[in-house]
Amino acid sequence: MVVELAAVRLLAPWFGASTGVWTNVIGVILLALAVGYVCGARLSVSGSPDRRLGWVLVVGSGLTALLPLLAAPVAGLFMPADLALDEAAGLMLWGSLASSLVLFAPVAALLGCGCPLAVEALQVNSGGHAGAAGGRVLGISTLGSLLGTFGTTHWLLPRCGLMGTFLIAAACLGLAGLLLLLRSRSPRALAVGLIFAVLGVGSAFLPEFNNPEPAPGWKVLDQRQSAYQRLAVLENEAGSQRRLVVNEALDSFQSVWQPQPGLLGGGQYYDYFALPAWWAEPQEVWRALILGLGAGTAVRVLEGALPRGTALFSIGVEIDPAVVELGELYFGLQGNRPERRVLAGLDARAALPGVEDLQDLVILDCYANNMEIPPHLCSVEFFRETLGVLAPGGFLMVNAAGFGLDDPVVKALSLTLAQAFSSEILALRIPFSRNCVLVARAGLPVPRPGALGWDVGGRVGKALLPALEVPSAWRLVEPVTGSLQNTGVPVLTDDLNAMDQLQRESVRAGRQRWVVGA
Amino acid sequence: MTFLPFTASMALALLCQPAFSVPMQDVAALRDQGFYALALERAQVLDDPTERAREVLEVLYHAGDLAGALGTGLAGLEADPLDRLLLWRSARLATDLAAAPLALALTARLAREADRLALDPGTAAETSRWWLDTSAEMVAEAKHLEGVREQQAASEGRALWVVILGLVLLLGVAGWGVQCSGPTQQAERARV
Repeated sequence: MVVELAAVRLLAPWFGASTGVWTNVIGVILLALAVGYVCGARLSVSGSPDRRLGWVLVVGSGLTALLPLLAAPVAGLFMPADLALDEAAGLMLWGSLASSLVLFAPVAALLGCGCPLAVEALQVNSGGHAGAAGGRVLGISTLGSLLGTFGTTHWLLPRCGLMGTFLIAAACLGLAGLLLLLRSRSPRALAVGLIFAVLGVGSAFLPEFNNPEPAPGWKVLDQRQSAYQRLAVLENEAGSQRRLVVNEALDSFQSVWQPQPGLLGGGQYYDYFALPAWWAEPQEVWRALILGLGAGTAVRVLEGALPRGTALFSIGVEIDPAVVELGELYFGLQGNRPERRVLAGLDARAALPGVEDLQDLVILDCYANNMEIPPHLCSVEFFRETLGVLAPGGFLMVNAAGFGLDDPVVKALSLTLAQAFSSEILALRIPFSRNCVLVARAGLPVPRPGALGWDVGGRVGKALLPALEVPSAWRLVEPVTGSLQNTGVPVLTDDLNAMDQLQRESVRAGRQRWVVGA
Repeated sequence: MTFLPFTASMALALLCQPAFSVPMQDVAALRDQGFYALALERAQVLDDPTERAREVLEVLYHAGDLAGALGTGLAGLEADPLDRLLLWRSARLATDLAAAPLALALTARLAREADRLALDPGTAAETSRWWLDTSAEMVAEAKHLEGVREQQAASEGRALWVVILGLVLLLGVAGWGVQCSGPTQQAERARV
């Protein structure tokens, strides 16, 4: 289990850690284990099973220790540099499957051999029934897997990193194998023991796990493995911008920082979260709940872009505490103050019932693995729950990545949001970006280009509104009722949520856009 | 709530309308001042189809609708396939949007047009040099994009073959393993 869980992390810098990648890794390991069981069965019928088990574990240990070093060259074969995130989508599935087969199948097959050999060894040494020996081996191995599951996610990866995790797993396997070889009094055991000891000492001098290089002009300030993902903080050469990237990232990032708070410019969707405070009636306090805080970019934008005389009271919810730590270190995130609460380690939906004050603005910016919106955070039921924490006239803004307003994901999210709010919502295509922002309002009509209340003037209005006023930049989406529900666009619910499929369709449609000839 | 037909910024632009006497300047001025919606309206009613496509493309581009601008450029090129400005802007957009085959095709056409212009004795040397340099740079960019796309396709093919080979290998090893119950194995077991 240690190898299996860490395997996804090993591939994540190239292929991400999406459900598809997990499926590939688990599928390959299960297949290899099955092959290993069958081969182990054959190996167990002749010779000394405990000596063979010892050899299998020692060789498996060696391969495990090599995995972090082999990951970069193997993954690099299947994921060329310079690809955009959407361009790489097809490679993420086939590339991760191929990489899993090359990297993990041999180790998993060897470890699979161990199980029947262990059963045979136990039965030969202690006598009794095969069932009793099998039951004991299965019980112990399942407990070991349990320990490996929790230990890897919560202790090994965050504290020891990928290299350390694989080396510890290799050391455990190697030690067990060595003890078996010594016990079997094999003449070669001493030699193997010596080689193993030398390798163990040598492993301390192995180079660090090779993550992909950042883009030219960017340097890595910090990187770490959290319980959820691989995180890296990048800074440009001028020191004028920092980005938080997770897993494969490619041309995308999760958070961005500039020295001055306020609008970021350059087609950043975060800027548009400032608009509701200008659309609303002037007020002294602006309460904003950010679901998917990241390193705090949205808060920083609001801090510098609210109307004069309006104070910001924000609550940020971020599932990954390591992201918050990096936010505090590198992105100017300030938590633990009454006006800047940060709820780290909480799922956005689980956090909603704990929000006491009604909010003027709820921002939903929750993505897993760069591209995936978790299904429980894009359903009618969830959007209705967010409606429950909005003050009258309050705004919900949803970041929806997609190729324009006709993107399958954007259309489904828009309709779902309109259904939940039982009113028109405004879908905005953010200029110069691959993001759309959906705007819903509690109890009042949403602003729209050309309508009273849309034009807010001031520096924020001047910077953001004109480009949104062209007809291709916005769309009003109405809820559908009764017989009109057969629109071909799904309304996403907790029970039936096709977000995974929609995201695949979105990427496919995006890649096909310009295939037609010139 | 009653909705007014225009925003304040649009209304302001309308009030300024008499100041612009020539439609093209009108569109460009509106665009430069950030009145994109109004500039687009004006551009869409220009008489000349090529001018119309050029101006709509520019407005959409400045308003951040890159895909819309490219679509406009391509439509304009259908009507006037040799228009260098449309070719240039469309090729630039196709490159920015990483549409490799399209960028390659458009930049090749642009390069041909630049060559043709250079052969025209009526063209200033500076002008033809600019077009030649620009088109050469853009062809290089498009080739780089195409190279990345080819690498992507090669990686996909490689991954597919590795998956097939890996599965065959695993099945082969499994086949070796299931021979456990064969006579040789039973004999080995009997010896043990």
